[in-house]
Amino acid sequence: MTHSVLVVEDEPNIVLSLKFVLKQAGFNVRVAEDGAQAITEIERDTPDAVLLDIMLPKRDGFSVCEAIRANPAWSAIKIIVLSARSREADKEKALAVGADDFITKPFSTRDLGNRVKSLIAAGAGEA
Amino acid sequence: MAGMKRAGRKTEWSVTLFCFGLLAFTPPIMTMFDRPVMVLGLPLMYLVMFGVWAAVILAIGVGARRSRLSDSADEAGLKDGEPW
Amino acid sequence: MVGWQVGLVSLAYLGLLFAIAYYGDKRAESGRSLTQNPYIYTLSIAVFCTSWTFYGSVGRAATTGLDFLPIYIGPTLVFVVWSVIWVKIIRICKVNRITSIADFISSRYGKSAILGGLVTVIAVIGITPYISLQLKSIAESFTIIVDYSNPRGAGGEGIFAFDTTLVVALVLAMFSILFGTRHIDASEHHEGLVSAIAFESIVKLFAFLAVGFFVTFGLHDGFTDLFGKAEAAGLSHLFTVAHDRGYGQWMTMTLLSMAAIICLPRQFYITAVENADEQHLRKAVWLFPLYLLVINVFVLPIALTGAMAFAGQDANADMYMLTVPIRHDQGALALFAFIGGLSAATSMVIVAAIALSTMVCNNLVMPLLLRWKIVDAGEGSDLSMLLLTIRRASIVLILILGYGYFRFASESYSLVTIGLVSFAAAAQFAPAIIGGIFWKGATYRGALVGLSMGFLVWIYTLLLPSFAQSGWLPISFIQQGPWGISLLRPYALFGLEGFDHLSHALFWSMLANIGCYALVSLRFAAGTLERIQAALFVDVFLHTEGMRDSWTQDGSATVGDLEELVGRFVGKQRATSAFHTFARDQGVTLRRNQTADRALLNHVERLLAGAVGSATARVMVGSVVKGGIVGLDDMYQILDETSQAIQYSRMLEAKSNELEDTTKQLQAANERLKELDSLKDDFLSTISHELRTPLTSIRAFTEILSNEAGVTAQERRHFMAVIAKESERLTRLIDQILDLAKMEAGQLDWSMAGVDLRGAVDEALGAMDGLVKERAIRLEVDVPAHLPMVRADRDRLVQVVINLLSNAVKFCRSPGGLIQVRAAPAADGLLVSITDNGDGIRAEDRDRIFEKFHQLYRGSAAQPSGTGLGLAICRQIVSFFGGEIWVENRDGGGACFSFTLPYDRVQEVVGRVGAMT
Repeated sequence: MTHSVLVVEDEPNIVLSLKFVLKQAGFNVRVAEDGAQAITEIERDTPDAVLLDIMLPKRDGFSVCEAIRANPAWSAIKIIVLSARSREADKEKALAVGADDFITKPFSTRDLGNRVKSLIAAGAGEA
Repeated sequence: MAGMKRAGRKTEWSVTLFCFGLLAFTPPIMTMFDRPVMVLGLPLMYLVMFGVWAAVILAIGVGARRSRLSDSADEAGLKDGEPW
Repeated sequence: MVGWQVGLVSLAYLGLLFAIAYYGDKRAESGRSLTQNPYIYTLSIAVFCTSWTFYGSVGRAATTGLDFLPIYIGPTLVFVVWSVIWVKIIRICKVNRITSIADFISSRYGKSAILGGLVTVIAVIGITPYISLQLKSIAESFTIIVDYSNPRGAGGEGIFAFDTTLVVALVLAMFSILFGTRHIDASEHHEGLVSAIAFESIVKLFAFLAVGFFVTFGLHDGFTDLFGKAEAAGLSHLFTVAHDRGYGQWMTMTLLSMAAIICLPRQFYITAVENADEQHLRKAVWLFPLYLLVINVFVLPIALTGAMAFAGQDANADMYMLTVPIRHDQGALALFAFIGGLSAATSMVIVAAIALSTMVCNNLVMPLLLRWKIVDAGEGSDLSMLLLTIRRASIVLILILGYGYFRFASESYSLVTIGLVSFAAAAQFAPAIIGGIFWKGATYRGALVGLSMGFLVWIYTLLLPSFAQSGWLPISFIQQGPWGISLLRPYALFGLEGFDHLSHALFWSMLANIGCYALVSLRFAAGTLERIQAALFVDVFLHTEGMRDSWTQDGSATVGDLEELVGRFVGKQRATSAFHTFARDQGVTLRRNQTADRALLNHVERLLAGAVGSATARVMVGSVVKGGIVGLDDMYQILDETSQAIQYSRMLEAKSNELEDTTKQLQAANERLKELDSLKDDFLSTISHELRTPLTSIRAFTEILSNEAGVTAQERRHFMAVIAKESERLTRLIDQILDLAKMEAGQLDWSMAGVDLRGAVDEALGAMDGLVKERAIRLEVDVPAHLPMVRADRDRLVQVVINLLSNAVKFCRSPGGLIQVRAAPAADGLLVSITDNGDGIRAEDRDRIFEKFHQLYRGSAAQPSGTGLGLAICRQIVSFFGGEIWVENRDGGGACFSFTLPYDRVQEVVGRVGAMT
C-alpha cells in the first residue's frame, strides 16, 4: 500500500526537491502552494502525512495545523512542520498546535525521508 | 508665568539702577568731581550731582512705565517674598 | 509790615488750608475724591520737604556747600527700588489695615502691644526735636519778617519774643485736631488732610522757586553770572561737597535719609497708609524725586547770594530765604517766602502730629487702658468719643513737647542738626521694617531688643549730649564722660573718635540695633502668632486674597454685640452702615441676635483695626467672643502645625510625583528596548529564513545528486541549474543585506556627483534587456536627452532603476507585458516613474512594500522570487539622494513606481551661466 504525503510549501525549488525525495522513498506526493489550498487538498483526499511549511501565503502553517487537529476525521494525519526559522519558540509552538515533528530547513534529505517513514509506520502500528 | 519674567526684569532693572546710584553718589566716584572748578560757568560738582540725579529720575520713570509691567507689581512681590 | 499783619496773613493761609481740607472731605463723601490721582499723592509725599528744606538747606549750603544734597538723594535711591519696598509695604498696610508705623511693626511681630508701645515712645521722643525744629523756624521767620519790616522792632522784645513759638504750637495743635480727628475713621482715608498737604507742597515749591528766580535772574544775570561772582567773592569752597573734609558725614546722611523716607512716621503714614491706589506709585516714584530735584536747584544760588550779600555780617544763614529779598526791598516776595516756609513747617507738624497721635492712642494709651481695665470693651459706653479725646490730647501733648524741646534745647543747634537727630531716631525702625518684610525668621524678641538697644544708644549718643549742650546736664558729661569715665564719652563711645557726632551715633546705634535684632531673632524661636504674621507680611502677595489669621472659633458673640462694639469706636451710624455694606457684599442678611460667623468676626477685627490698631482690635474682639480668645494660641499651634504638615505633604507629593515620572520614563525606555529587541529578533529571524530558503534547495539537490541513484540525465541537468540559480539568489541576497545594513548604518561609500539620468536609465535598460526580450515585454521609454543633471551616486541610481525594472518585469501582464519608463523635470528635481501593467498594489500595501522582506503574493501563480529587499534598498538610496519614492496604481491597473531626484546645483548654475553667455 502506497502512503500519501501532502507537501505544503510555496518555494518551487524546495517543492521540487521534496517531491523527488519522497517519490524516491515510495510515497504518493501531492503539493499545495499555500495554506488554503492545503485544506482543500486534505478535504479532497486525506493524506497519511503532511509536510507543512510555516511561512505560507494566505494561511500560515500553524493555522493549518490547528485546522487539521480540529477535525477528528483527520486525527490520523501525521504532521511534520518544516521551518526555515530555527527558533525554539517556533518549535514549541508547532508541537503545541499539534505537529508530530519539526524539521529545520535546510534539512538532510535522507533524514527527512526516514522521519516521514517512521512516523507513518508508528501511526499504522497504533491503528 | 510670563508676567513673572517681566517682573524679574523690573526688579533687576531697579536693583541695578539702585547700585548705579549708590556708586555714583558715594566716594570714590563722586570725589573725582568734588573740586572747586567751574565748567561752562557752573560749578563742576553742582553740574555732576544734579545731572546724575536727573538721569536717575529719568531711569526710574522709564522703569515704572505701565506698558512694561502692566500688572506685575504683585509678581514682583512674589519674587521678593522669599526668605533671605 | 507789623506783627499783627503777618499774623493775620498766616492765619488766613491756615484758614485757606482748612477750607481745602473741608472741601476735600466733602468731595470724598460725595464720591468724587480729589485724592484719586497720582499727582495729589506725589505732592502729599512731598511733605518730606519741611522748613528744614526750605530754610535749613540754604543755611547748610551757605556754610558747607553742597553737602545738603544727600537728604534728597537718599530718598531718590529708595524710590528707585520702589517695586521691591514700597509696593510691598503698601500692600501689607492695605491687607492688614495698618494705621501707622507702630501698628505695622507691632502687627508684623505677632501683634505685640509692647512693641507697638515701644515704637510709639521712640517715635514721639525722636520726632519731638523735629517738630520743635519746625516751630523754631516759624518763630524765627516770623521774628525776622516783622523785625526787618518794622525798623522799630515792635515784635522784637515784646510778647512775640517769648510767645510766638508757643502761639504757633497751639495754633498748629488746633489745626491738627481739626484736620485729623474730626471723626474716627474705620475705613476711609483722610482725604481732606491729604488734599491740604498737597496744596502746601505746591505753595512751598512755588515760594522757593520765586525766591530762586529772583536771586538768579533778578539780582544776577543768570546762573553763570551768579556763580562767577561767587567765585570772585572767594566762595568757591561752597561749590563742593566736602572738598577739604571727609565724606563720612555725606555717607551717614545718605543712609539716614534713605531710612527716614520709609521710617519717619509721617512719611510712612502719607506714603503707605494714605495711599489710595497702588497704581499711583507708578507716577509718584519718579515725580517725587523730581520734586526734590526741582526744589533744590536754587538752594546753592540763594545761599551764595546770601553769603555775598551778608559777607562779614553776623547773619543767620538759615534765614537767607527771607533776608535776601528783604535786603533788596522785596517785601511781597519775602512775605511769599514766609508763607512758603510756613506751609513747609505746618504740613510737617500737622501730618506728624496726626500720625503720632494715632500711634499714641492706638498703640500706647488704649492697650494700657484695656490692660488696666480702665476701659472695658464689653461695656455699653460709646468709646469713639474717648478715642477722639485721647488723640486730641496726644496732639496737644506732642506739640507742647516740641515747644518744650525748642525752649530748652534747640537754641544751640541749627535746623539741619536737629533734623538729623530725628532722622537718626526714625532710622532705628529700619531694621525691624525692612527685615520684617523680607526675613521670615525675624522675631518679636529680636525686634524688641534691637529697637530698645538702638534707641538707648541714640539717647546716649545724640539726645543726652544735646541736653548737655543746652545746660540741662553738666557739659563734663560730653567732655570727660559720665563719672569721668572717658570710654563712655557720648561723642566718642568706647574710644571711637574721628567721626562727626552723627556718624558716630548712627554707627553705634545701628550696630546695637541690627546686631541684637539678628542675633536674638536667630537665637530664640518665634511664637506661633508671630510665625503666622511673619508669613502674612513676607508673603503678602501670596496671601493677599488667601488665608488670614481668622477666628476659627465662632464663639457666642452675636451680630448685635459686634455692631455695638464697632459702634463704640467708630460711631453708631458708621458701624451700622459698615455692617450693611458687609451684608450686601457677602449677600447675607444679618439679624441682631444671630451668632456671628468667622467672616464677620474677621471683618469686625479689621474695622476696629482701622480705628484702634490691630493688636487692640484683636483683644477687643476676643473679649466679646466669649471663649474665643481662650485657646487662641492652641488654635494657632494647630494652624501652624497644619501648615507645616501641608508643606511636608506637598514635598512628599512632589517627591512621589518625581518618582512616578521616573518610573514612567523607565517603563517607556523598557518598552522601547523590548520593542527594539523584538525588532532585532524579527529581523534576524527573517534574514535567517531568507537565507535558509535558497540553502534548503541547494542542500537538498546536492544530496539528491550525490546519491546518483534514480536521477535521470535530464533531471540532473535541471537540478544543477536550480542549484546554480539558488546560489546566485543567495549571493544576491547576502549582497543586498550587507548593502542595506551599511546604508542604514551610514557606512556605505557614496560618490555623489552630477549624473545624467538618461545615461543611467540606458545602462539599467541594457542590463535588463535580455529578460525583457525573453518575456516579450513591450518597453516604452520617454526620457529626454537633455534633462538637467541630478545629484546622485551613478551606480546606486542604476541599481534603483534596475530594481524597479525587475519588479515591473516580474509583475507585468504575461503575455502582453508593457513597461513604461518616464522622466520629466519638476519644481525641485527630476521625476522618474516606471509603470507596469500588472495587477497593481493594494492601497494598504503601498507603504509596506518598501519595508524589508515584505513580499507580496499577488495570487498563487505569480510567485515572487526576489529577496524582499529591493524596494527597501531603493528607498534608502533615493532618500540618501534627497528624493522620495512612492507607488501609485494606474487607472487601467498596474503599479507606477515614482521617485524624485534633486538637481545638481553646481550643474544648474553652470548651465545657467552657459545659457547667458
